[in-house]
Amino acid sequence: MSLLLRGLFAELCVVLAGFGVALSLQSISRRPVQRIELAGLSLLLGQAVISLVLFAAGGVWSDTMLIGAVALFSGVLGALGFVLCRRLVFAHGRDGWFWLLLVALLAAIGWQTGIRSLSADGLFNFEIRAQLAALNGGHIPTSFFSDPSRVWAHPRYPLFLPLNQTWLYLCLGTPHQGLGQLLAVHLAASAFCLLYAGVGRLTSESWRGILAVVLLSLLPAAMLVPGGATSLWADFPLAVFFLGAVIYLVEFARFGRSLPQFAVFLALLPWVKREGIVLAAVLVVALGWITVRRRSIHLLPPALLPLVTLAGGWAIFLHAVQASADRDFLPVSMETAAQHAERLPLILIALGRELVAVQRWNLLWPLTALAAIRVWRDNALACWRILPPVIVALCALYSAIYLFSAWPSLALHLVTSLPRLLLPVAMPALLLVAAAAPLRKRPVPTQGAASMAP
Amino acid sequence: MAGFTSLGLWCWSQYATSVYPHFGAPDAGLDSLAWSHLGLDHGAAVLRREIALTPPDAALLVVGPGEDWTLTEVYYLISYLAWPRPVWCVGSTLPGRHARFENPPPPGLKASELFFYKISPPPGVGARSIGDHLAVLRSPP
Repeated sequence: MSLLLRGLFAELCVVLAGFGVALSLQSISRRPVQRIELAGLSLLLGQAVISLVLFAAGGVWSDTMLIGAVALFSGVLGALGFVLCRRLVFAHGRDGWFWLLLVALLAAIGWQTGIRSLSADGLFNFEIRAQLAALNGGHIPTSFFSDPSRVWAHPRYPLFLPLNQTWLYLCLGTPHQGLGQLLAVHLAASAFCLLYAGVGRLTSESWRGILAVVLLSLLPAAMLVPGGATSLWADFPLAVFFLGAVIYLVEFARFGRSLPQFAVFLALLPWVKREGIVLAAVLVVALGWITVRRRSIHLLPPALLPLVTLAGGWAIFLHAVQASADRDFLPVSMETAAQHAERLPLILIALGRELVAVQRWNLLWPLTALAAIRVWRDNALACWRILPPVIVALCALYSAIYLFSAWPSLALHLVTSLPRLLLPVAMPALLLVAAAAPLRKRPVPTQGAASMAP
Repeated sequence: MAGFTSLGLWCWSQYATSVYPHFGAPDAGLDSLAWSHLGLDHGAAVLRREIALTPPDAALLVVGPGEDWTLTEVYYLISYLAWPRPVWCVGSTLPGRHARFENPPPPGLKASELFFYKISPPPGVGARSIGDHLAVLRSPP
């Protein structure tokens, strides 16, 4: 079987698994299904399912048996999706422009991905795990996590991206960094679909969805520079999952629905990248605020259950394999923070310079400030008011992290990591700009948006 | 919005190139690094062959300039290819200074193979050159 067919088989399993999970979530939400949203969810949740199943089943089976087990599981989920398909109502939309734009953007991203090679973090933090797993029958040798000579590979980093690369390598029959880079196109497609569908649904204006997609595609930090989609590091996947979580959080704030989708995306954040726990913490506070305002605090514990289960399970695994401690940061304590308080001016200067670095962020952050002002003034945009505090809180928390940096050179640590930390934060900023852009007279909201304001 | 679009398109234009995408190389990333730092063509295969000469439990050591960040990438590259062998890294510096980039071995470790990156091996020990900046010494005294 050619590499192409093997690759298509791997992709089919991912999409089938995601299709089943996405429709299961939609059936709980009881709202019309958008085909583009379904496509985005299938692509993204499929990858989440494959990575988790591979992680769990990799300890039991290997090689062909493992591929068969994962494929069977995906097939069952896919069949469940087709059964649910008949019971659900699909929304009708005219999305021709989006599909044209999507094809053009994915072609450009595929081209850019293909002319560069995996490097740095993409190679030594993530792909190395996939290579080891593929050569070891499908699971990463446990000795990798406790190997003191490979602490530089950050043994505590989660496995979403490496296990998706592993799945592809297993299906191809051999590790293949060149073809593995095509995962970048998969992730970009899911981001564009979720963004278009989410913004269109929440604003009732599909052209704002197109605007959001164009803004994302013109954001160099998200596309072209290290950490962006074309580099296939974990920063862009984390940003996509955060985007999904934020969209469903706003939908819950506005309409009181889509909490199951939010809970799933929230839970997956720490599975994609370790910083995901910081993003999740801020979203949990935001959800708490919204549930209090909506007098539905009883919804909070079930929404947090998947997060606690997944993050707890990963922590137990790391403890069991005696994973080496990370050397990048000192233990977090008030005493350490106080000792390093003199770093704050340097950190704030670095943050300020980053926010105006147009070669990475275009004009996103100044536009976000203008959008935030508009959102606060215009009651029709009230459902978006949760986002500016989320953005500010994340910037503050990410800045505070550097008080605990253990690098000999704080400046080097800031330069190499701060731009990528801000990538997920850019997602709610994009949503704000797309929702608040004063380009056309806003129609009257369909449901009481102002009353749902957090 | 017009400014955003113009700037975004300008950024894309900076990356525009006539190079065709290539997805056919199984070791694309490793080869690219080996080429840029060591001047090695098909570097992953060359280094794999070299490392395969040592037993799977042998410890390896990379020595290089402790102030040169490229030492980390060469060290990671060798360590990546050497699994499951433990690989350590020592950065050389001027007396009284600490290396910025290194991962020193535990005291008393005897390395089966030494890699010298951008550093000349001691004369007369029988080290061989691989590429532009790397020399390897098997079973050092």
